[in-house]
Amino acid sequence: MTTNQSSTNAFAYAFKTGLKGLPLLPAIANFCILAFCSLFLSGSQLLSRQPIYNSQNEIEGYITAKERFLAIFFPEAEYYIPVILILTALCSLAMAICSFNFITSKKMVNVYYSLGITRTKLFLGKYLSGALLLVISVFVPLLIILIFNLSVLGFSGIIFKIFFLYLLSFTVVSLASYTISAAVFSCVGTIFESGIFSSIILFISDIILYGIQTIMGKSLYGNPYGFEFIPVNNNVYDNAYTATLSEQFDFLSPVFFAKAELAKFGVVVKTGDAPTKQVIENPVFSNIFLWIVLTALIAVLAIFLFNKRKAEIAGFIGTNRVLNTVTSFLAGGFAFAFCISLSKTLTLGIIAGLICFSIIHLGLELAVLRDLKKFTKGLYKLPVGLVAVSLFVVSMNTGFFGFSGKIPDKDDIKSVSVTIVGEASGYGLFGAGDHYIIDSNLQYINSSRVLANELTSEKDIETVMKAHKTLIDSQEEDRTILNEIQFSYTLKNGKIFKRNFSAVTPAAYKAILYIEESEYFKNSLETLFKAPIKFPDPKNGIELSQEEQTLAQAQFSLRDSLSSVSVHSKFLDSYAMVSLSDKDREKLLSALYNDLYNRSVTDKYYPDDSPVCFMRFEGDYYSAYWGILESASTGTAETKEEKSKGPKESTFIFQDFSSGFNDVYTSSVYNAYPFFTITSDMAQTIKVLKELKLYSTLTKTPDFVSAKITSAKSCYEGIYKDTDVKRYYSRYFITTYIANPSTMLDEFGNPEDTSYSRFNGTVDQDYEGYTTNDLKDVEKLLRHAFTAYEQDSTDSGYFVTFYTSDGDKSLCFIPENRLPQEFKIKL
Amino acid sequence: MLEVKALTKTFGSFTALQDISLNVADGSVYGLVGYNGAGKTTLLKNIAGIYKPEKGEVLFDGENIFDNEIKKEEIFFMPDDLYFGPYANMKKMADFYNGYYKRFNYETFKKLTDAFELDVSKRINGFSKGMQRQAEMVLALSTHPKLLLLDESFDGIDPQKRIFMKGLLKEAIKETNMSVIISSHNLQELENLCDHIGIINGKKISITGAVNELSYGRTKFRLAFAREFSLEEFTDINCENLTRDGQLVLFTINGNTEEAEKQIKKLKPAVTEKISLSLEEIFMQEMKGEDYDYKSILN
Repeated sequence: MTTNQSSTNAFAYAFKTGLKGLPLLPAIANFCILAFCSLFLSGSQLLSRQPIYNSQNEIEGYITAKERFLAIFFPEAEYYIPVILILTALCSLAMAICSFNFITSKKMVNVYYSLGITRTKLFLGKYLSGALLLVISVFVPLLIILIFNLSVLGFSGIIFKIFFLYLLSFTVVSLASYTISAAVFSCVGTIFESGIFSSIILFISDIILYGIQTIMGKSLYGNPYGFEFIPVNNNVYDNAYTATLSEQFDFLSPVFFAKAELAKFGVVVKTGDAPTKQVIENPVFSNIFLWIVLTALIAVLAIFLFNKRKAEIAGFIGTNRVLNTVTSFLAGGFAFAFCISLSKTLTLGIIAGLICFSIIHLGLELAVLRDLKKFTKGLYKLPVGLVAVSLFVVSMNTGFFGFSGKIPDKDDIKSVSVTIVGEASGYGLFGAGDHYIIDSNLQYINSSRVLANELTSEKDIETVMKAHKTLIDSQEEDRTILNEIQFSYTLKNGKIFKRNFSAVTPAAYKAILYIEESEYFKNSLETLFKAPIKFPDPKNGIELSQEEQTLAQAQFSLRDSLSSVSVHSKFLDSYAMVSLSDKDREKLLSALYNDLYNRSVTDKYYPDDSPVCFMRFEGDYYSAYWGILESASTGTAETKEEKSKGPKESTFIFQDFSSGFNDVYTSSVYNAYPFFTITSDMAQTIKVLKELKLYSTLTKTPDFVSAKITSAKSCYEGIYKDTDVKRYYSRYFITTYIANPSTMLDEFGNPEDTSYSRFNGTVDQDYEGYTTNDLKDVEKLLRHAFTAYEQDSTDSGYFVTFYTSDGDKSLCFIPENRLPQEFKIKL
Repeated sequence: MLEVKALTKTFGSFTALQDISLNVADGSVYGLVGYNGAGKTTLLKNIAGIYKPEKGEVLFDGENIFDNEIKKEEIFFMPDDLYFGPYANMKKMADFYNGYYKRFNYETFKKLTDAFELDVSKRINGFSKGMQRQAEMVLALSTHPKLLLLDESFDGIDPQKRIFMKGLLKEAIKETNMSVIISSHNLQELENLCDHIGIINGKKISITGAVNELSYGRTKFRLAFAREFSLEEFTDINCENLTRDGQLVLFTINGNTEEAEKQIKKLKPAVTEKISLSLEEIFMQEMKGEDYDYKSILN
């Protein structure tokens, strides 16, 4: 027999064979996922045209994608990117299985480990071939998108920047996931374990952070991470969230480290396309570079583990005790946290969580070990795990080593912001529906009200800190108010110190209201009433942020000569649309400004007498804006303000509210139209109302003939949220008037539901109470009834419904200490 | 030359091999014998570089084998449990081994496949067990190894092919001075093929040496008596495995037989035969094999 030497290089052959067969499947899958999502989503957007409508709502033209966008890679990336990243990671995991499955088969190990190739070269040959396939599967679809973008949108630097962002991100996610899976594979004996363990290790940071955050959310008072602001109407679309721990520490995750940047740059809209304008900033690559380095280090570790791997574990399950324990603990911990997240109270959650932890942990141990003797031997781990998670919860519940109780030093504070969630009622600058400033950490802005943003004066900061300290010193059972509050301190060193409280004490809540006496609020009033109104000027690069637009709308509504003013009577039974002359408008605004400036929190929220009336201003800011644009394009220098003038004389027409709900609360959700409760201390405003001959009609009491008193406690469902303490939302109550309810029919001709609960979320007419037809009693009750008042806790005080002889009704509120005893005993 | 020096291999708390030492010279055929589970395959895998011993080392031509790509290219391991790719045929497996063995020769491959009458295009997993072993042997010899490790490689192969394979091995050894280590239960087969034997018993190599030397110092006597006799008459003879089969008596004498022969003469047997022990008899004697009471096992 002759021997002719082959020229084959074993390493090159290992690499070459790794490019064929089974490893192609995950690469193809990865390619398809990216190609489908990116081509389908971006392609349709790139080829889209947006219609332009005229004033008759007819299409008079189209805007192409080129005119609207600078780059389109992943439309609505914020929704799709997490899913695509997970799928990419799973494809990479599958690639590791396909590349390295030979080390889990005894038969294959006999062949491969006896070959004339070192373990390092064998690993690298297989690893690099799989890596190359993954890189190609990412590069090709993104290259196609790049070409598509360049051909449709034209050449621009931003397209290439985003292309590199996406290319690097997905490549590194693929390689990181693949490398981690290869390292895990090198430690275990079966494909089953490698799949399970790799999946868990890939998401280990997310699992741990989810667990920590869930438990923090339920048990750590003041937790700032992943905090959910839930509006009183429980509308999930209005919820706002603070950044979660996973988002704060996204750099820890090999799958999600680039999620934020990818979501931000899925689509880049051209500048000046308000309100969808996006600031073109450069993508941040720091997390990507970090994971390039980490991936390289993990690859070195994987080689080391592969070299150390004993051939004899091939095909045997449960050979790696470390991974077994880590996995079963993590899975158990996740189940524990999940149970806590679902439970109504923390106590229930802990019990359910411990049971689930045990089941999951033991189940996984048994599944992996498949040996009763080994399983029994390892049972000691269960109590260790149970004690660990329990201790963690206890430490969170007791303030987590001072975390809850920490407040920055006054000297270190530059400014502080306060956000409060409640119904769109009387908080903040504009009364109902304060929308003035938006905390940039919140995704939705509708229901979370920033009460005060960046208070800087020492006095104001002290006010906030006092309220904050009140909360810290409170006990669980005292926190009976469910409204969420956030304190956000900007420190002099630039750091942000944030605490969110899901429930507060009545004392703290009241303390926070006193922020309305701060210099900040005084300055804000001045801005509202006196500062120049801004308009955007895209041609000159002047754009307004959301906050500036809202302020401008409010200013315009107050001050424009043609903006409407509606005044609503004390009981909302009548209203007038007032056309103010410029002189009268100036007088009214001056009076309002002075009164609001000097009004105390007590006068507003806890007045001695019921408010006099309600006032709302509404102006068409955007029409004015388009008018300015038109003026600019025709060359005239006039502004809208200069053009418009009010009537020579103020006029008004009073109308009785004849049918339906009059509910200024619901009509004032958006504070572009400022709403004011005119309280009895606002002497200057009242004087102007008298001069305008509005006052007497506004303050006239309807002819009520009967009244029904209901305890607020019987009207509300307290909520057990996370604790065993029943809590209620606090709110600024404003009256509701229902006129002629018997005439109100729905679209099917049936009597409409006129219960307060439908419109106000407060009292239902069917609730039990005490009804009186005695006119003297009615009069007595009217003396103590308020049409606007701060309910410290929703379970205190009384609702009183006054009825006219026609069946109209008005819902008012009587504080706990104001209802005469003779009525209390009748309830 | 292969040297195994004080090799110990454990699996967790279980010791499979302890302090194993043996040498296999170039061009020799070493037979590895032992009960099921004695550690033969484990030893072969250590030699092949699949397992890493906890203690000791395996040297081939003076170099440690483990993770040594140059030396391992000169070794081919043919396991008991064969592996071929799921859809592989002989051509694909030839390409596979060609990729990892510089000495792989397609000419040799072709000649051997023709000689074994194997279809290179058919899926190997569709072959019978015997044919799969033949296929593996073809691939092994095509790599022209300097050391060939065969683990139960003749199992399932028909007698004609066995003879053919043995002939091939002998030819290859003669031509290339290849060393071979074979593990088998078929001691008769090993006896015809091997020049050296190692018996693994109790995690160690209990006996090792040239086949023709192993029976040295062990003599089996078979005596036939024409008269009545009892086994008590043999008490003065220092023998082992004394058994009676009718008028025949069998026993083994270790060491010098002169004294024993004197005693035998005194007993006046009708016929006295002196026989060399077969490998199987040496193995059984070493293992101190028991007679089984089959009746009590089955009833």
